[in-house]
Amino acid sequence: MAKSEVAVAGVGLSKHVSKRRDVNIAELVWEAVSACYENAGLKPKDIDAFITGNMPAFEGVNLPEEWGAGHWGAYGKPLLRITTGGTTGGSVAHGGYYAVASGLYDTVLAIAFEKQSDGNSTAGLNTVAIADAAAQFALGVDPAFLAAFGGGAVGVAVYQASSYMKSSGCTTQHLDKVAALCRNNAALNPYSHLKQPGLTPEEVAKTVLLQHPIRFGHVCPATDGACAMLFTTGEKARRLVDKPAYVLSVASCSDEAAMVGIAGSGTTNVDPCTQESCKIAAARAYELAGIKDPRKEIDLAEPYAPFAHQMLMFYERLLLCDEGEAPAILDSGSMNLDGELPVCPSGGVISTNAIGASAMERVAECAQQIMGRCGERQVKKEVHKAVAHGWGGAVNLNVVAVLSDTPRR
Amino acid sequence: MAPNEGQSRVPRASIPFNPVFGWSVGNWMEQFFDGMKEGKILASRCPACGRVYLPPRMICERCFAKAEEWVELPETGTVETFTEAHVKLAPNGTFEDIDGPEIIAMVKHDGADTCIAARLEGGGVSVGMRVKAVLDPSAENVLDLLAGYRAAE
Repeated sequence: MAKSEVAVAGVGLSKHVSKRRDVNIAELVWEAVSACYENAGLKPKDIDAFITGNMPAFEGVNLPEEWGAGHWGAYGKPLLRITTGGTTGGSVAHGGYYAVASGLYDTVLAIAFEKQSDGNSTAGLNTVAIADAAAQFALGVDPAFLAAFGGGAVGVAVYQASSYMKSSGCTTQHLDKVAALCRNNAALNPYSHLKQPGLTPEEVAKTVLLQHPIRFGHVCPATDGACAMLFTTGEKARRLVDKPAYVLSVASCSDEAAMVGIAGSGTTNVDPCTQESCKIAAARAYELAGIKDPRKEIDLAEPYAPFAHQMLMFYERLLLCDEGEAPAILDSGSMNLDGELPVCPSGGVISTNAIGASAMERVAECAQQIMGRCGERQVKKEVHKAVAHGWGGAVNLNVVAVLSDTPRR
Repeated sequence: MAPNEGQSRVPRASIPFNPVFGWSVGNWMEQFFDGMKEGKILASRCPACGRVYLPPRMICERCFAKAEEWVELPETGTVETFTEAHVKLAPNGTFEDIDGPEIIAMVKHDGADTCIAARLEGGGVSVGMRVKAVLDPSAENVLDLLAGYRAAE
């Protein structure tokens, strides 16, 4: 991997709500982009290249970057779109990193977004699942059932939740607790969608049971929103901001394709909660970052957890504790904003899910926590190293990034 | 087995797929439609370079400035380029003749720097032809407020 220093020198977010009918896609994304320019003190003329991404098929606009390019300052500049499903935003951030680390560009604007209210996310999800549907016909599965199955996003999580709870000892009370923790954090984040200050686990437990073991309160909302991040060289970042967030490493790992495999929740024929590809990506990322013991060296984690159990499951798969330990760590208070290793200080994907942007917003939160720009939700401890994660692809891709307040030596 | 013989044995199934999209036209186009309802043709102008966008857009691509100056343009403009459609696609995938050619023109309104695409009523189109917008402020669907263009007197 390149030895060059890559840093985040600016982050911009749009308002995140369920329906932004007042603006179109280009205008919505402009809000995040212009905030990022302002945040970094730059103008489009200072940007060498643009990388964007969102979910294909969700809005029914398949070249949104060509529509929005001019609205985002990309006129006359190199432009590239990356799209990898739920991991899209993480992959776009990785793209920003690659572009600078390679030495091809000094300054890159990475943009990720989703305007779910324009489209039909269920139909979009079906287009992800259909490619693998043929094999199921041989087993006599009714296509109408498959469509409903692919369409229910909850469907990709429930089987995984059950197996994770069995293997870890995580209880439904833990799921309630995760939701309450995240939604309370979200209440302190001006860019989050579902703000529920004072929400208690008991209140979460009273929400409707959608599909065992997932209740309504354990599930992310559908959000319209956008995120932009400025990636540049360490040298330039130090000129732009007092405290840049350095990207020490990125790593991703694709598992067995699992479009409608076992529960469509992880891999074709192994336990969907194992998430081997997350463990592999995390181990690679830590090694590249020079981290020997992530449990001691990581100060903050932003796992991608649209469903409550995933915050605990991915905490484990990001190698931050032994498997099965996360529920007890949650109980200890360590994951709180004032804890030893705060998790999802932003409020997490369970509170805000503009799908294509979500995995980037994990990286953005790590960067902003390191930069000390998180206002009320700024964690109590000093953040030297943070890990950002994304889960997506055909529910088989995991992406990991490690950020730090000091460049890699 | 002969080549392709297996294909006859492949079972086929249809998966219901009926997505509904509802794109927001955006803040700037909404103002354009609001203007149309009053019989006005509103364009947005870049305060930095003076470029006038019709249809209006929020950001001037060349300057990245917010094109938030609104100007009312005359109904007249010039055909920059055009085409004549002679057939349409039938539901079964074949071409079907239509009644007379339908003209679609790219019209640059007087005072605008960009073109608007619309149907041209009547025949005899040519590049450089002077045309006038046909507005229908009472149209129920905002997309029909601009019914098309016809030759200017």
